[in-house]
Amino acid sequence: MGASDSRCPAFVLDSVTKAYPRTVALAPLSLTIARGERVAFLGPSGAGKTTLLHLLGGVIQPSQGQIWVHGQPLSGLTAGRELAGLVGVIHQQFDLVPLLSVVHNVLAGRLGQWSLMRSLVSLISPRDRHIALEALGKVGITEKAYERTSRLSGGEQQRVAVARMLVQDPDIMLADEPVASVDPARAEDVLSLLSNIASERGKTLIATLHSVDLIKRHFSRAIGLRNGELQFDLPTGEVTEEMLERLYEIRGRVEG
Amino acid sequence: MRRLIESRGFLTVLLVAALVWSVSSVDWGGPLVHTGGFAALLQFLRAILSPEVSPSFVIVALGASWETIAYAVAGITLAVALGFPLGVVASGVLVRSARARWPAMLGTRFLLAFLRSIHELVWAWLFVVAIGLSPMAAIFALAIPYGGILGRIYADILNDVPAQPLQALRASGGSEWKVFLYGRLPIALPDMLSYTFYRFECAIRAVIIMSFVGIGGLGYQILLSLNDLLYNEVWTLLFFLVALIAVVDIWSNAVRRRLVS
Repeated sequence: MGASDSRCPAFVLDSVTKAYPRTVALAPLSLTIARGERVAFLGPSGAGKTTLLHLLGGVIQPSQGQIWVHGQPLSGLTAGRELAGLVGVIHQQFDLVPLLSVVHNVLAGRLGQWSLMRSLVSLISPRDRHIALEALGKVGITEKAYERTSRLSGGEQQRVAVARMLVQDPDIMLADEPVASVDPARAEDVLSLLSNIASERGKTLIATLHSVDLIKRHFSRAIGLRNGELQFDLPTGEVTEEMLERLYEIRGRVEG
Repeated sequence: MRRLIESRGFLTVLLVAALVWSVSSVDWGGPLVHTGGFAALLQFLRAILSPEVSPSFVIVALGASWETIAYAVAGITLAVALGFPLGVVASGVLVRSARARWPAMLGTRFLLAFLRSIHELVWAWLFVVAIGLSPMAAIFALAIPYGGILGRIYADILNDVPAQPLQALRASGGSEWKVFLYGRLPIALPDMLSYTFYRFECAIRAVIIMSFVGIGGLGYQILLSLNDLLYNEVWTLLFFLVALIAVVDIWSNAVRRRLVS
């Protein structure tokens, strides 16, 4: 990205809000995330974690305020090629296409670079095959490359989603609850995979999750949200159990 | 007023009234079966025990079954070729700007509605008048309304694809065409194929009925045998018909199951 200076932070948020007709999903929030940081968003359901992640990914637009990514206004980047090179998102449900074979789901990460013709030809005979196979090797499921994605287990599908992100190769990786639906061993696995990739390739990693242990092991910074408001923003080493209890505690009437 | 019209009680009264009225307006005078009808019916039923199995007739039945399948396959193939592009346009998924999408969607949806609102039998009759008793008449007659039906269903299936995987593809840089190829179409495909197979079964029955207007196939043979009061032959042909539908049913189920798993 020509315009992006390597000294610019990954993200700068300037009093960003997101309001929906009846609720405020995110109160004015300002923060800076440096390049190569590994940041975890914490908070109870409905706290605004996913909203924030979607704002950063350009999936939704802020109601007010401005987001800069690598020094450029996020709203000024065209969706597709430009944004895809900078920011990639792994969603909670992996968002794979079940009927396609694994290799095509992984190569979907290349769609931003490919012409329509090349995309079409690739469905018949995969293009850039070595890139896909390398990514699948990295997540440890090379042998599944030509299987139909629906035949894979949940954990394997998650790896496919990670491989797709690797192929897309964005500078910033966003992951929405990457370990919400997997057992503890696999959660550890997936997170070390993501954080290793981030540190090896100098990428920024931002994820939403709940477990203190995992956060302390794989992230450098923790941001706590509640009711769309910032509760704390600390190095993971300084986060205490007590702070988390306060963050997750149910006050008065039940909150989503 | 509106609440009254939408209330369940009102609807019930209305439906019951419609039933009573329709039953009472049928002319029930005279016996149900005319004189000699019972004898004919018995004759027909008795013939089930002795279907015509002479080799020459079995060959006729086989040929007619084959013709029926061939018409149905050709018709449904043409219907897919017609319905798929129209369905894609009617779904409006490839057009980003709302201003261009609505006219395209409405236009094609109207065209699809027109194609399917005229029954295949009417088309068959028109084509027989226009191009004579050629297989083409049967195939076109089937392809036009079926193309209209398939196109409409394809459009609905394409519209109902879950949004998140598509969103993910857009986020990784795909244009609407690429999103269509890598997301929408493969997600929609099992449902689309499954519905096409269901329509194929319908097409076989439709071809049989259509052949009563004289365009080859099992239906035509049934008509000939019925006219000659050769009930044994009619039963043989009916058995072929049942077997044909059963085979297609089993086959399409197998294909559908493979797609879903």
